[in-house]
Amino acid sequence: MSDELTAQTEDLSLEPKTVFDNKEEFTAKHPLSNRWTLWYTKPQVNKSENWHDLLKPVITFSSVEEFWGIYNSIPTANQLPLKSDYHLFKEGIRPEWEDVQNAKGGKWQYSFNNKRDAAGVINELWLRGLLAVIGETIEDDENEVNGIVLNIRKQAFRVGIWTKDCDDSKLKTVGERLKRVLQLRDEQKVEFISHDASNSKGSAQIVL
Amino acid sequence: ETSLPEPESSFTISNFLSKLESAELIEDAFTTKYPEGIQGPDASKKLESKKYRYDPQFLVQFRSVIQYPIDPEFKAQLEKVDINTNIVKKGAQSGSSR
Repeated sequence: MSDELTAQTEDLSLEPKTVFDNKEEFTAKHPLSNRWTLWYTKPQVNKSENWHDLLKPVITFSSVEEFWGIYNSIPTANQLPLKSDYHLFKEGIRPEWEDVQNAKGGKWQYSFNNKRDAAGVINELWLRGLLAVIGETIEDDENEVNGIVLNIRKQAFRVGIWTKDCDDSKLKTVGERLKRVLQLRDEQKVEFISHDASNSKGSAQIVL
Repeated sequence: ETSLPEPESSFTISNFLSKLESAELIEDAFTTKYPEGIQGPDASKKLESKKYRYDPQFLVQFRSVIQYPIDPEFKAQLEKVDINTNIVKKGAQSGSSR
């Protein structure tokens, strides 16, 4: 065998095999830029349960393949009970405004108030949100995003992107992308509210 | 008949997740060769500041492939945080919605 041919053969044997080649006998995975933790808030069934009993981490992952394995094995948005939430946050950040990495930030959010209309599309829109966050296309160089949240409420499905600070110039991109990800029309406004303002029932700081 | 038939698709979600732990990292998905019909990630989305960046069109191709039966171990992990696992059906979320 010539050296060149040997080199080619070695190349072939080193070719990574993805799940697309074989869904059981793969050798390689697609890493994500960040490690993400999925959290779940279960609905309160009695008053003695506090927030910390209800909000719990489910699983942490750091590859595209793990994401899909998990996503395809948990209830979809429209299967979740009322008063529950999904939160997907960078590992190490609790999905609470008290967390030091959230404390100076806020959230972009949109409420789908017509639940009957939204029920048919919320699964796909929430998935689009998740993919934009783990694939890192929700922002460019801003590095503002801490996590994404889905609230299932009696009056609405609500999707929010949590940011680490309230710097207007950096926030715009994230707000605009969220609007596109959720396939909102021009007149359907996303609002940014700082955690400080939501604590004091303040109004939206930016509307897009 | 010398042996019992293997149960169909015995490779579960937990098998999948544990196999992933030892899988190597694809450092450059832009030059990776994918089987026919699979589109690699969009190189125009490349950014210095984000080590791995994938456009949604690339990511969504995994959706219909990565589907495995849910085993008791994975189920228990969900039930520990009170996620109702009875409503999750294998194949119910197939990726045919385009």
